[in-house]
Amino acid sequence: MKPNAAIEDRLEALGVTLRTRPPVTDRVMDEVRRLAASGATEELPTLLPRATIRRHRQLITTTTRRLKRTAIAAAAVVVVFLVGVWLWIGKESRAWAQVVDAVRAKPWVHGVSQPAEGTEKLEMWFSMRNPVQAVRYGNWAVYDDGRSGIRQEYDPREKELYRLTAPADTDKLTRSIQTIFSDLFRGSEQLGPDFGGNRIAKQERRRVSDQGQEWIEYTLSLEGASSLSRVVFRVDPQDLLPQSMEYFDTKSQVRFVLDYLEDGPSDIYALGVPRSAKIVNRVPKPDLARVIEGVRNSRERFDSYYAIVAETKDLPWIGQSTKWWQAETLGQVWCKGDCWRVEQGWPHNMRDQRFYAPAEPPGEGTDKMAWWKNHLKDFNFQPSGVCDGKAIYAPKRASSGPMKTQENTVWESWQKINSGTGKAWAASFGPAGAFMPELYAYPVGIGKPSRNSVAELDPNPSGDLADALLLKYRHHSTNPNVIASCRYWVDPARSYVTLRYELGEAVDTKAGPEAKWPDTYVADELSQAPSGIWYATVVRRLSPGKVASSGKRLSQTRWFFVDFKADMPDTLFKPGPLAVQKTTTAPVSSRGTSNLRDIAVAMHGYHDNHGKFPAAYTVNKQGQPLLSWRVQLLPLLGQGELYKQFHLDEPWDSQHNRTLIEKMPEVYRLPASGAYSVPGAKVKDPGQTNYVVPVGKETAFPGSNAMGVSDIRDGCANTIMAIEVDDEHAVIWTKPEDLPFDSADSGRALAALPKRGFWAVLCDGSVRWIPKEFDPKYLRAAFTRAGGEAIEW
Amino acid sequence: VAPDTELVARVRRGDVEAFGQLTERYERSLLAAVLVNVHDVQAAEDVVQETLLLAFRWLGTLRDEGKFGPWLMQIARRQVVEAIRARRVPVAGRVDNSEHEVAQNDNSQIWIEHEYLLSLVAQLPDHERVLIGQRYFDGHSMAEIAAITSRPIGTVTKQLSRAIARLRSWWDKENLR
Repeated sequence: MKPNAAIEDRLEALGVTLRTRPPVTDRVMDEVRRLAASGATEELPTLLPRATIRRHRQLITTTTRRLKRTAIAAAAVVVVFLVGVWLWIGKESRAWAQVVDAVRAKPWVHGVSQPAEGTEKLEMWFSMRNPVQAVRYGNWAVYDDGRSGIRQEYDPREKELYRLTAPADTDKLTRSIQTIFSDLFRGSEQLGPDFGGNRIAKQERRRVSDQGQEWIEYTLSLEGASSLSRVVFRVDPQDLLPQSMEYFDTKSQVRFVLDYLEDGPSDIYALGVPRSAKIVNRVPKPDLARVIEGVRNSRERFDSYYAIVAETKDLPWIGQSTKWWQAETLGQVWCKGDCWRVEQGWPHNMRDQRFYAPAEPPGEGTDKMAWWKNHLKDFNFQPSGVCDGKAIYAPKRASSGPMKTQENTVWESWQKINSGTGKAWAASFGPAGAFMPELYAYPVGIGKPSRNSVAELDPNPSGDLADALLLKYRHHSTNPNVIASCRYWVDPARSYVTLRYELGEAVDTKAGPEAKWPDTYVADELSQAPSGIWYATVVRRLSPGKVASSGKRLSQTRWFFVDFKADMPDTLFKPGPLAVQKTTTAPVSSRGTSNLRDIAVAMHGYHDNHGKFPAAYTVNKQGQPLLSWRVQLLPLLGQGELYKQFHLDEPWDSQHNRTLIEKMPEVYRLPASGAYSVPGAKVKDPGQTNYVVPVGKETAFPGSNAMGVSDIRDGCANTIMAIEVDDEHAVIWTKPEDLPFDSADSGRALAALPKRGFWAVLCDGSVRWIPKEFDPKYLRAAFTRAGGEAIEW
Repeated sequence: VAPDTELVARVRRGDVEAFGQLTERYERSLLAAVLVNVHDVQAAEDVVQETLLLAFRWLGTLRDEGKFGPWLMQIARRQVVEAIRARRVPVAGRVDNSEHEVAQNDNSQIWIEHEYLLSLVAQLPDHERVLIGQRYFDGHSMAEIAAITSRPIGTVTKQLSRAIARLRSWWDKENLR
């Protein structure tokens, strides 16, 4: 393996995670175009005054250094804990009967690591008779006593001795390591099946010779949640006592030389901890411990299920919240025991509609789950992650070509992200954490207090959730001045389901801690799984810092539609071959469709002023066509000055009006880029436009007669207002020329449409991509305004 | 693939759409840079958006068109500081807990696995950070990076190898302590 391969793998994994986020380019470009149109770009001499820049740099450097120092300390603690937990030998068992006499007489195992240059030595002890173990690294010390369930940890920097709860899976860890050592003492061929919470995937026992000394060497390859990947024991074949133990993980390797002692440390003070150390008690009281355990049980024992999760958000520009069916994105989750699979989907035309807009909104009393199952076909789903019960995998995209958007990515293989299983690990994987209902009902944040985390239970909270229990957490983060604070209201009568939670920060100021609650989640509706465990079906998130002009905090809502009887084959949870999901997706046409949308908005503005849309063209007294609808719209498109220059009583090709052709506004110009909907859409002539309306007696633009909304009897959502045509059919923008349409001879009009599909704006202002596969019958119907047809878009 | 210098020049000449290509090129690298200090993904995306808009507004002040990427990173850093100072973003979403039980903070859990690596990438010199971002976060091939940055592919390869070696040494050093 290449020396840098591990770090490259980590970078790749990080990249995969980053690319699961939807791109911001569209949003940015919308604003950029607006800025460009308003001429708001600036030439600034410098970004900021130099003094300000210096201050910022100092702040950044200080923060980075502080983070680095803390990370170093944290890494040291992690090493200590890993080894400590891993080596915790406990309870007496019948296996002891088979321990050799020498060990029976010396009931403590002691190990010393070979320190690397510049590091402290790592020392550990564990009792072979009692569930007690101790670790020392420099002046750091940890002492675990399984009899009392208490861990003690000394931090020499602050001279504080923490009393903590022992890890939840201590018994499992203890038993597994006890079994391993029992096997070693017997000289067994096979060890296991587990070691320190990790499954032994492969093992080898062989005789080796090193500097004239014979050894029995056991090599265990591990699979599991921790980073431990391999352990090697060397056992003396004479007395069957392990002489050394070496562990490897992705980061490092540590080798302990083992010896056996009569006595070990009786308490943490025997490890050199000063008796003057301040004791900080973080062991939860029984009532708090009961709630934490209740939450954990409900989360871990939640039923198997299939869920469709819709995400909607407030739309300040239309002053209302979207409905449960107007999803911005959709998630699908299959969950069976420790196995799960998550997929995320986007509506085909999300770029232009911002959320899913079905042709027919669901009626009152609709079975929401069934409705969504019928509409999944309108979404492009991409796999986000899968857990096969042993490890979590994320899809890796095809390496050729840069990623353009999340929706049209082609995935080629699965990539192992980590070896974690269980709901706490699922929560650490973003897409799963975002879509699993039990992770909202029973957040993993409700955990046992730790060194950096203080918990408190308020049995009688004030406010509208007075029947709930309030759990308050304060987490000290890497920034010593900032404390992350979490508050959870749980319902003890309903399996400790979380009714509301707030995640915030408290910044220590001179005047005392200043708390903010920027992120609030509220369970609006609850339901019960077949096992009786409650979960939220509607969760509203009040976004931090995002406030509508009305002063109301904007919210996002997740709607959980859960089916507990769904059939879920095991193959769903295998990171098997990834099908290349190829659907008819619309080509990118941000600018082009933006033009269509602007045209529709102007049309409606015209309708507001005149009670009707503009006619396809104006006529003189003799009925001779003069100027196109595109000229009539100019005042509504911010082109009032240009409009005034036209001689409205003259035809488009009069001597004067001809001079204005070259002044075509940008809104009528299709961007000249291959990225847009019409291939090679470079307009041939500066005065030619690709935006036309269907003209004919049955369309919304029957020549010189103007139509209003009331004349569009098929409904605005079923009738095409304007479309983009290709260059071949581009027209002079002032000329009364468009797409002629006659239902009796519709073939002619349809033949003139771009062959690979085209963008259209409907009379309701929505922009749609009409793919080439679109049924011609419906297409004809879409061109007519009163044919009596409903379109299934 | 058009080099940055060409795209920047096109934007300056009024081709607004060229800025979209620059945005697509760097948005994931920017997100990675912002996430080092802003541990809420949506808030981080807001900062990225603000950064790109400022870059568009201030493009006239960019002296060396070939250094668009590092310049963008500088603006991002400034925006992070601004956002933190204005308390618009939560800076502490992570909870240290030996049982892997972390605070439920919407999508912020995504980054817990990667947080440390992000902090190391942030310590790289600007030009190496941009390369790492383009290669691994924005997903460009080496040939594309060479075209984007108008540098020979050998130079890009060497600089990237140096950056990875640097990251690896930091990673090993920190984890062996």
